[in-house]
Amino acid sequence: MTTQAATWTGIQISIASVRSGDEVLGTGRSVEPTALVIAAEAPAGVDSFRIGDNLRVGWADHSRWQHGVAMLIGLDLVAGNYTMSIPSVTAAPEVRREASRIEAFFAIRALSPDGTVVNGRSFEVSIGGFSARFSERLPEGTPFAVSLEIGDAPVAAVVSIIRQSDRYAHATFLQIRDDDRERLALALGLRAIGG
Amino acid sequence: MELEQIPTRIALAQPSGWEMHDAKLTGLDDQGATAEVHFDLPGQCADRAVLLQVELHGESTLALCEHRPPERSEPGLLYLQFVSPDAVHTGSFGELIDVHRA
Repeated sequence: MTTQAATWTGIQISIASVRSGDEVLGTGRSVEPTALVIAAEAPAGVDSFRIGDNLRVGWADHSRWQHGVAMLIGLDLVAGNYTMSIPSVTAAPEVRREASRIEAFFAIRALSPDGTVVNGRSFEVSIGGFSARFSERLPEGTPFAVSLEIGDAPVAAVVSIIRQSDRYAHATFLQIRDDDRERLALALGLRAIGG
Repeated sequence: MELEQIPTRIALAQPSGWEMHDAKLTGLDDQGATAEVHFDLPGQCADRAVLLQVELHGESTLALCEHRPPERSEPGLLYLQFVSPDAVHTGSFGELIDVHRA
């Protein structure tokens, strides 16, 4: 068993490779009491994980890998140390999804929940989310839609802001088409074989 | 509760951004939904990202969908498949699915 340390402050953590029995230890804090999203990108082939006993799950438990992103939504937690265990790895494909954010400048249009379109531009992007500057502040803790202008067709996703300061927003993808995630990976120059 | 009574909006991710349209939710299950929209759909919207927004109890919930019309589709209907079915099982969509299933 290996243990990887990471800091969970609503940002992505990198798990370059995992094996059965691995544990990821981190420190987390909730951004919104009922809308916390912790994204951890994982290699394809890992389809589940177990959160530690010291995490109290709130109204919803999405503690599973979804499109290569671990989502813990609705955790009722305060700052502290938490453990994410990975009890099983379903396969061992030669796949490694790069988790780090890459400097990339895409025009972004965000559809605020009230129907207002807000323009922005990314400055760091990964297949799990992006950091961008928007012309206006966007709602925190409320999922909203974005469209990233990549190539001929936009990549559409539903995102949640995990941190925001002034007009800089750090968002993680909640819903995105598999094809679009692969297209995004290609646009970022990431290797995405199989998966 | 009739689905048609649920305030529903459809947004299409066109290259210029999102365009919102009022719609009626006519069908819903674990995998997706059908929605009636009051405009002529452009041909290029097939197999494109569509955002479905429903309001229930004053709260708005989003689901990102793919438009996947069957071979014989009815005009004015969007056939939407959730891209993350698990993500819509909580909140308004989960409640709507339960109500519609009952």
